Amino acid sequence: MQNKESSFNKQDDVLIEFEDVCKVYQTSKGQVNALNNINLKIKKGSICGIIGLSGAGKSTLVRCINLLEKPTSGKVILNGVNLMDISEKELRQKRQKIGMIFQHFNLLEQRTALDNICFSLELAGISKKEARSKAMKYLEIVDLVDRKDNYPSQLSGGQKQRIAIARALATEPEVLLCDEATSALDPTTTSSILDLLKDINEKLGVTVVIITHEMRVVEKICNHVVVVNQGEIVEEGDVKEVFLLPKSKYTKQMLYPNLSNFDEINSRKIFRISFDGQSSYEPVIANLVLKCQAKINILGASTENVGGKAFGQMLIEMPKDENVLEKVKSYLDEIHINYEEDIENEC
Amino acid sequence: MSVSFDVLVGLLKSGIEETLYMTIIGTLLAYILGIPLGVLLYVTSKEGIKPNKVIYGVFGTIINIVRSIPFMILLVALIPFTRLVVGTSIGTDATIVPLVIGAAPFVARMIESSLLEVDYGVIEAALSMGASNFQIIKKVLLPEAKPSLLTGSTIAITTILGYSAMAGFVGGGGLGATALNYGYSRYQTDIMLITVVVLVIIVQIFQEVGMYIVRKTDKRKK
Repeated sequence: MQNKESSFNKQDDVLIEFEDVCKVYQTSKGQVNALNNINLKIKKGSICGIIGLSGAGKSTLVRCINLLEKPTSGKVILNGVNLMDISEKELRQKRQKIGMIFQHFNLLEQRTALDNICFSLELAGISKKEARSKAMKYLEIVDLVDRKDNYPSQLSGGQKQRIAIARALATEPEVLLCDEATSALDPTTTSSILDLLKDINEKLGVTVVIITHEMRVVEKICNHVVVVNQGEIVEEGDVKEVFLLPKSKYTKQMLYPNLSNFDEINSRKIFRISFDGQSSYEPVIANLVLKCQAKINILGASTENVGGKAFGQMLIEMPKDENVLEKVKSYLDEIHINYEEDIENEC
Repeated sequence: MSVSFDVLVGLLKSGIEETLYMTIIGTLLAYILGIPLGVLLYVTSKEGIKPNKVIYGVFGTIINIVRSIPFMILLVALIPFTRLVVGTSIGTDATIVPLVIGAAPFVARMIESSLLEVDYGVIEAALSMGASNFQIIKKVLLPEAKPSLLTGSTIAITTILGYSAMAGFVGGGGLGATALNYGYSRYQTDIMLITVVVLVIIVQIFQEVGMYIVRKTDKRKK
């Protein structure tokens, strides 16, 4: 849990800023407000997750960062420059510094893996030879050197996304936008792609903006989360805080769809434990009761079992006995399960 | 056999040469005209990268008009224009003019539909990397649509071959003229049949070679 913070506080500079951004679509049925007065700051070097259900406006939101969707009004400021004010040509140059990856990878089917990475460099006007040597470097970063001459049809989903990441990074962008980048992948591949993104964030210092509807993606690598619903930001903040104590009704519903009266539990001793691919065969809850003799109470859970691995999270109420609490914590540490305590009730 | 074997071979040989000449040159020129037209249609279409209702409407209508004129009528109607361009209205060179004008709109529509097959996601990815519209056409649309474009050109070349055979009616050369002059006008059915068989074989070869090239160049399924 601690390592999430390390990359976050490196720099407090704001890289991307939205000021009263609105996006209105004209349809035959009238106006649709895709984005409503969005104000948002994304810090340099952070990994920011934008989460919401489909249709919430998150895809539009991320496309407003590189102006693939032009906001109807408002300012989109990147490094102090309002992208709404600059010319087409200047915008194209800025876009080379904003990498983007997609749910369906969007590789060029008629080019090899290596040539796909060269593509972004060619667009930037870099000579073929230089592009190739640069592309090889990024192929190494995503660990697919042996696949350089393969065409996308010969690669798996995870490999395609790695090539797409290399392609987006080759022009040395400051920010990498990920539009549901793991939604078409299985949990194990998702995990490895997320590890790669985290690595890129830490080693290359690239700010990462992740659009997703999956909690576990935000949970795993983000340090800041923005919850979007119906074109509005309903909640934002530090991932741990938002996930443990969501304030808005929408966030609560999204985090714990089966939990009806959330407010009532706020006065009690609450743990949030999260599963991130640990073995689902380990009877965690039973052991808490038997080994630690903790009379725990499950308040809510959203977990799934994929190939013997558990993903998801659980809210449990703990006894207030300090001795028991210590036992519980050491047990959870022992089996490498992440947990957070309800901070407000700690003392 | 109504003519000697040597005469028949000579007839077929010159017929094949003329037909191939008209078809290949006609197809090339039709593509030189059709590619920019097809790209323009795609770019300005509703799904294109720079939608423009007026340009799309004007060119689309012109193309539809030319395409709806039966080729025989176009052939005759274009005689004054052909004479202006090549100086004569008979012979293989003269046939190429209506061939190109008749085929280019058809080629343009096929190119448009091939380009529409390119996944918009790939174009969006290129845009996100800062590609200009020209770069998108040159580096994304045309290369990505290549297999489909080649399939289209296989269809186009066989269609143009068929058109060229019609040119026999207005004094064009080729196998069409052979079939018409010897077979139809002189009631030498055997010559007509042989000519038709040769045409069938040529179409077959174009089709097979075309599809072979398509399979070789398409990197999507292997």
